[in-house]
Amino acid sequence: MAGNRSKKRKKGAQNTSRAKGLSANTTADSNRGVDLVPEDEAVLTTRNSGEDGSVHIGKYLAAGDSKSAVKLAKRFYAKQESPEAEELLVKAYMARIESMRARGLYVEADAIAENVELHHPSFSNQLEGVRLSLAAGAGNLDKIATVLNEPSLSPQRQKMVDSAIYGYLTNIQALANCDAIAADHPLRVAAGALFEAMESVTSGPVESAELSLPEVSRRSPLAAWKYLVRAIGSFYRGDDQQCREYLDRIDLLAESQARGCDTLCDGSKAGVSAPVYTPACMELAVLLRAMIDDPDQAACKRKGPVFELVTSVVKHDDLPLRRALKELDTAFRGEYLQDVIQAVRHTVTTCRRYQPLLLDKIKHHVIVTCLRHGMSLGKLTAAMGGIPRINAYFWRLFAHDVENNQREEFACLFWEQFRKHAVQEGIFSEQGPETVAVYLHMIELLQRIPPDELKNVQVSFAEKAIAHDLLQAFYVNQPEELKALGPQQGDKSTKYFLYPERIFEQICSQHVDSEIYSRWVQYVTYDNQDQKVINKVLERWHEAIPDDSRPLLLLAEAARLRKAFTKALQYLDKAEKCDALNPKVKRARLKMWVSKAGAHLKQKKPHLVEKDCLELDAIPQCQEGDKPAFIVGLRWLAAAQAGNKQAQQECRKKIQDILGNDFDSEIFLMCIQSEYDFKVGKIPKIPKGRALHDSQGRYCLICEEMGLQPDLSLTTEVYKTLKSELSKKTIDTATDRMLALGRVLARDNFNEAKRILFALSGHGLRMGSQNEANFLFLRGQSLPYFLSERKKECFAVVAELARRQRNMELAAQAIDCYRRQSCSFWGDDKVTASEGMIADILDEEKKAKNFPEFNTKDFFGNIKKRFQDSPLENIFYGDDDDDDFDDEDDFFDDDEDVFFDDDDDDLDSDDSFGLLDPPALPGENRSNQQPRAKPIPGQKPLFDDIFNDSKELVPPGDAEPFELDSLLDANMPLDIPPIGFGVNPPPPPGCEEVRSRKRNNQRNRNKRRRRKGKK
Amino acid sequence: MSEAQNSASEPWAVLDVSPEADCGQIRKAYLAKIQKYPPDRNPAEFEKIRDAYEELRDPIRRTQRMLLSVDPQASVSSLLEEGYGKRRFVGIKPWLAVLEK
Repeated sequence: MAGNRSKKRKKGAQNTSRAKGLSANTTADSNRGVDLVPEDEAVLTTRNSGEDGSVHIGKYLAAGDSKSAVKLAKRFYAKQESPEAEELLVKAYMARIESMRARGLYVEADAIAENVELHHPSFSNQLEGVRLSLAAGAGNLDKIATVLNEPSLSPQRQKMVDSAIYGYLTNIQALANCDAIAADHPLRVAAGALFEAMESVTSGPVESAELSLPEVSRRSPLAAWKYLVRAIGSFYRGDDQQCREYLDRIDLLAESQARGCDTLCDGSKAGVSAPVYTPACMELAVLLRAMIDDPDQAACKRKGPVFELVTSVVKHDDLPLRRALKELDTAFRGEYLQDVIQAVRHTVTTCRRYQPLLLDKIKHHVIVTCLRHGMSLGKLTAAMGGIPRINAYFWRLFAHDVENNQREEFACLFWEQFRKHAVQEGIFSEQGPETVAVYLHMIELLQRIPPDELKNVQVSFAEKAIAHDLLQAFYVNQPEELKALGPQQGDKSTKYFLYPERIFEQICSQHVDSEIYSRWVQYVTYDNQDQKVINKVLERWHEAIPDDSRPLLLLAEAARLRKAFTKALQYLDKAEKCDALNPKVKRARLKMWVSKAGAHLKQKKPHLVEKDCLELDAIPQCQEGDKPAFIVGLRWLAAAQAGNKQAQQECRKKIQDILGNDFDSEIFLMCIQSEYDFKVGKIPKIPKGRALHDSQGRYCLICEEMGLQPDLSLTTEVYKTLKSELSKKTIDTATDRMLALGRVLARDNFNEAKRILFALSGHGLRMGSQNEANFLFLRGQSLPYFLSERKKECFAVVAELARRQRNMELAAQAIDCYRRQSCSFWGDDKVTASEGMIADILDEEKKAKNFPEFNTKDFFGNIKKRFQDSPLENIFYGDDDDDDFDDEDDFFDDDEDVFFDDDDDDLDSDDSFGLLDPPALPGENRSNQQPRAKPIPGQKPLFDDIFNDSKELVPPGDAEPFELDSLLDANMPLDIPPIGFGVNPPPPPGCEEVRSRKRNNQRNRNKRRRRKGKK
Repeated sequence: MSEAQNSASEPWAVLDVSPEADCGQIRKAYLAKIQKYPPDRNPAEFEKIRDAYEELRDPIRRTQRMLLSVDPQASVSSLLEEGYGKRRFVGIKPWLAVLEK
């Protein structure tokens, strides 16, 4: 029996030593341990061999085999029953507890400690310290709170608590939230401040000054944490040196504890409890130091939380994915589909390993890029390992891409899909303002399509169910909840998203906003729709927002224009009721009566004119400044119609009195006669010190104040006089009169009016001061149509200057003109100008004295120069051959047909450039902008161009770039029908001819290239 | 921010928020910024911040900007966050997890 036991013990000892994985020395000890057992038996059987027993137990402890040590010590104590044997047993138990704590077995360790305390009460002091440290390590702070809350806490016990917190507390949040400790207890306050600081320092950049942490004193058991938080702050700021300094302080703290360990640990019976030197946060400090010096080594130490922290913080594992993505980019730029497929396969594998969450996004980009390049999606889908889940991000990406390629109708279709997915994914709410933003964007896109073409598109979509067929391809193999957002079986209904009015209706049904109604009115006005349609929108606006005077004013204006004065007055009455103080409402009434009087004059009803004038007299504003002259002028005209010469004389006298001089009154009467189609005489002799433009400016100003837009008829005589006056170096005219005259001239499309306006704006600009923006605006309007870029620059500067002067009306007008030049209806582009641009433009326009003339020679010369100088332009115009225009023969090559193409339906972006945007002419030397490719009615060649290019990119056999459907394998899920991008809507007449001509041109270019290459 | 390909002048970049940030996050970022750059000390910066906030506070204008914030023609490598090797803020959890036994 005894023999069997001996064998079991022997085997147990061997197993224990193996399980612990001891070091070389330890292994030697354990080997000796094999012989220890029989010796132990011998030792334990003799009462006088106590010394030998303690030696053997010490050997076990030194070897780290606390379990065997406890076993032996227990038997040794049972035999000896001496105080020394008891101390040895408690020491072995302490080692056992320490070993369990190291493995995180706090509860088990505490149970042993409790048992030991029960059986060996003389060691209760030491054991209490151990149990407190176990509680701190486990985050169970009730025991610590009980000690802290003792009414008369001895310094010894305080040290015990501090020691437990210093060495074992890792959960500072638990201490901060421990309700058992008073809220204002320094330890709890310090823990709260530390946790907060640590949270902010690991979540975003924090300045070092914000980490002073006065709540944590130098002597606090949490002082090490303070240094740790500061070290992390420095780490994230990239200040590694300072980080090291803080980590050194933690080391110093640990050293100081080691030197005077009994200040914090309970070492009253040295050797019984292990002294606490290192703070609980030391492991993080060590890791942080390793991360600064060598993150890879830090991560490789072991897996688990350390590895995760290092990889997530330092991101050292991104590199392979980064390389794979760069290779994919290179492959997309390259020539071979096979390379792309390989790169996609490699990227997907790498991404799956390193950033699986990014995989779908990468796949979305790959699909969109492939569709853009006309690559075979079948093989790519296989390389990607399947189609990703279609989501709002994908549709946003795809819609934006299609929009960039000027396929607005498809972009609208995809934005609609984006909206549906965004609502489903909870990004938007169905009725929220974000949805309105998507709708408005769709309207803006539709606005870019010429009206005739839009109608064709609407018909095509309605008749051929294009949207249904196209979208279906994207929803194959998608989950059911996503399929519900795709096209439904048999759904061939007309799509509302191709009809701006319906979109506006949709918006207004869910979002009542004056701004939206205003845009709707703008849209129907720009679209040159019937006034009835405009009025319907205005009525709807008024119904939705009755307190808004704007629709009423617009309705009144519309009624005034169709001479429905009674109706106009009704609207004005309503407008006055809701916004009586609005100056626009007051001006509208004035304008209405002036119009009525004008109508009566034209109807030759002078008696009614007098009634109108009486109404005007009753309006207080009409008695200000020169305005009474206008009313007297109307009476003068009525008297002329009635043949009442005496009344005419009286009126003339009154006007002379009001205006203060004869010449101004004569010019005033001439102008007002011209305004109301009366016979006009010659210009009276201009007295010295007076000027025609000054008097005309005064008349224009009076008219504007009366709400009238005057129309100056520029006879040859008037034009010559004005030209002569404005050709002088300086003029002496009031700025407001100049501006009023300028505004009238700007509305005149007559070329001579633009020339006078050019000269007038030059004088105004040279005057400087606050009105520079106004005169520059006139300058922009005076410039001829072929200087569109120069016009745009002027308007951009005006918008910026007006913004700075808070002249929002002028800013809005300038932006409107800018967008008209850009052919953009709403325009997302912010119209701004830099400080340098403002100075340059003002300087150039002040210096410009000659009206720019169109010069055919310069026009072609500039085109040639442009192509020679700027390879970018060649790229823009679709010509990838740098040397295509390097000699005269090439430039005027018949094959190119660049300028002399007979086709009206010229669709080729290569060919249409000269007509869309003439190059810089003299006086326009700042053309570094790219002309915007306008949509041409009846055709949209961009996708065709892309597929054309891709034919060169993709080797034969890999893909058929012209037909999108042939790019797709029959068995692949993403089966986009032929009515996709390059082919739909049904090709307008001439499309195929143009494509064929393009191919011929391309062939000719290639031939020339080859010829040159041979030379 | 990575997907936005924003230039420094973009309002999101000025306020240091992502294009998907909601009204609350934008306002919080704005308040933090103006606290850092008060108008009396940094008028130019304050104006920039103010303009960016004006641009983003209106949900319609903000969404219209957001729609086009992803550049489909950008290289796929730009999908990864910029600044290889830069230290990333991961919050307190992973840090404290290292101390857990």
